Amino acid sequence: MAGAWISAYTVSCAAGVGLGAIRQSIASRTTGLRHRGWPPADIDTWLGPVPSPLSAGWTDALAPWDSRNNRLAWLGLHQDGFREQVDAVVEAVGAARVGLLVGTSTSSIGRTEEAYAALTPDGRFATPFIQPTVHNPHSSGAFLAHALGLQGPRMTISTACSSSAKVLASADRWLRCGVVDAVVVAGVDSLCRSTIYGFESLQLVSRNLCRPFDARRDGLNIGEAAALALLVRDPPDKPRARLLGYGESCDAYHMSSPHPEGLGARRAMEQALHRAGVAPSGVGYVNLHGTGTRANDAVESLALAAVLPPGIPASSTKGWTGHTLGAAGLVEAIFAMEAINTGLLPGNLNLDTAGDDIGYAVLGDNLPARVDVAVSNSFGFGGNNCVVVLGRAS
Amino acid sequence: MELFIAPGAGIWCRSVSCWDDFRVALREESEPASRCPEPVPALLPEREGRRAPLHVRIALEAATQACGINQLPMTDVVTVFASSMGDSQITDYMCRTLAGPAPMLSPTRFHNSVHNAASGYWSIGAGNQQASIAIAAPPCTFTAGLLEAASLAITEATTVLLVSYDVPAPPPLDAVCGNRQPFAAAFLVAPAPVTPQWRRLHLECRQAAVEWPEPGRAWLRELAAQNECARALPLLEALAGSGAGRLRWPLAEAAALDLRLDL
Repeated sequence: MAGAWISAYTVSCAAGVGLGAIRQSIASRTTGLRHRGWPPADIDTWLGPVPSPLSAGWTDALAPWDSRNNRLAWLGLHQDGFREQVDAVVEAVGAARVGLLVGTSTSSIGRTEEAYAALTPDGRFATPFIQPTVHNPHSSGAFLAHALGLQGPRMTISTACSSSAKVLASADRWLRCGVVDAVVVAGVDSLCRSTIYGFESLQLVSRNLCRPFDARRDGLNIGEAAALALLVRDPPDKPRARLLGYGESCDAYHMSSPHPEGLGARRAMEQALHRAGVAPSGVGYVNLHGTGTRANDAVESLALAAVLPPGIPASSTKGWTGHTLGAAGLVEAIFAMEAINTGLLPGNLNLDTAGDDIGYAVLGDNLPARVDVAVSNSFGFGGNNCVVVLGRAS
Repeated sequence: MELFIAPGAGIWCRSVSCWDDFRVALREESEPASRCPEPVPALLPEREGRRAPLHVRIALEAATQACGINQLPMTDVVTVFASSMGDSQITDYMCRTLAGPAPMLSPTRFHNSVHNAASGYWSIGAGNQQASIAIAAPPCTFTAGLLEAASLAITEATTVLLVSYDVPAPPPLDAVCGNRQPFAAAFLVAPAPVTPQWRRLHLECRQAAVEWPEPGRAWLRELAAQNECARALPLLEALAGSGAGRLRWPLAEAAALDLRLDL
């Protein structure tokens, strides 16, 4: 498959706002996670808030859209010259020919939580919270379309933690169908009490810094992020990478536990490589889902061992960012593209001794290497899996 | 885009619980008086089926009907689950609990809170390991779902099941969400006719600000206004042979999806 070109991308997350800051964090192996890092969540854990006030550039005119998720999307949109690149494409092909696909699991539910905490005495939303475009799963899709003046097809994909990997697959299909000439894709998830207390109820939240694939791993840390990329059908002047393939599957096993042998994950990886026309030995780096939970990491390593030959550098970057849930797919697809474009592979943070249930060697130290093909894995609740394959632009 | 749509569809609303009943009801001026019991999906173990959230139960009901009446195995189809709000009952539960003095959430209700809950239960119940996409695009969720299903069918050369469903929002969420009645519909589309009865469908995205297509009957117009996913009703009418073969839905403020259904 000769897929879409990626002409621009940007990430803002705990590890930094914009690519420059994130590259520094990766090179210096500095985590963005903070102990009790977001006061509204009164839980003994490490969290990954974006290290920037979310008020920068937010104006009164945006009040109908106000939510932490939309403020985060707004912050992310204005990094790395991303907005200017979108404006240039809109100018070239017209706003009606630019689509928008957002992947999120939280959307703006943080704002809905705030509304419930401030109900009027008769149990209604107080006036500032009556925001019909905000209290739904598509909040940040509608907001980004408004902010960028896009008039093409738009929708939100919400399949838990695979959401914003799947936007790449759907965007590629829209381009191949010819319904648009370019697609803005985004992954935006923000810290909120629903996810933090929810994962706590499932006993999946670590009291410590997360240690994906380590023998002592005991759960995940939750983060937040806004990741954006611009996909185009025709080769742009300065392509950043190319989408070579994707694989999508369902475990058909359990709502919140992965298939014990990783069959769904394996199926998605095999399908993605097949579609990309890449042999398993041709993969130069794998950015793993690697949440730090006992089950996810063991099962993901089984799937890796079944699909890939030994020795391919593979790591989770959640030690820097926390698990950014619905944003993780695109954050980590961009980290995979960064491995290609910077020549530095991030070694998994906090990995001292791999667990004896881990069936594939995970990269512990940062490794300078030339990579032409990188893979990113994303697996979500509902047993929803998506794997993407990204290639060097030239 | 040119593709094919199965002749029968799945449907569940408060007064119509299957495709045959829908075709009968279309002949009547007013809504059938009897109220359908809430469905319990046969796909799930009985206990789990009864405890599943309402939006999951009506989505699985419509999906199962669509595969059944068109005689397609449930295991093989790629799926698009389109819902503007997902489970507003669980949203209400979580936000109310978190606003209270003891913010302890039920783990089951938390994992059921994902927007792809119906997709997950479907894949488990049907034993379906194919790709599944759960989307939202209010106020144009059904239109976006139809576009997504068509682009999947054409580019992946596969049969796609589109399930479109929403349930009423409880107060105080009803102030920011217009869903007042439950509704689910399910359609099958494919790049080539699966049987000779499948009908040719043309879809095109256009730059135009348009109004919603209106169902022919007043009670169906009311349903379409009270459930975002019931914007699918004019397509159900067309498939049943009693509506226009040319339809046009809003896809965004200044974008539309045009549909032509061949006889």
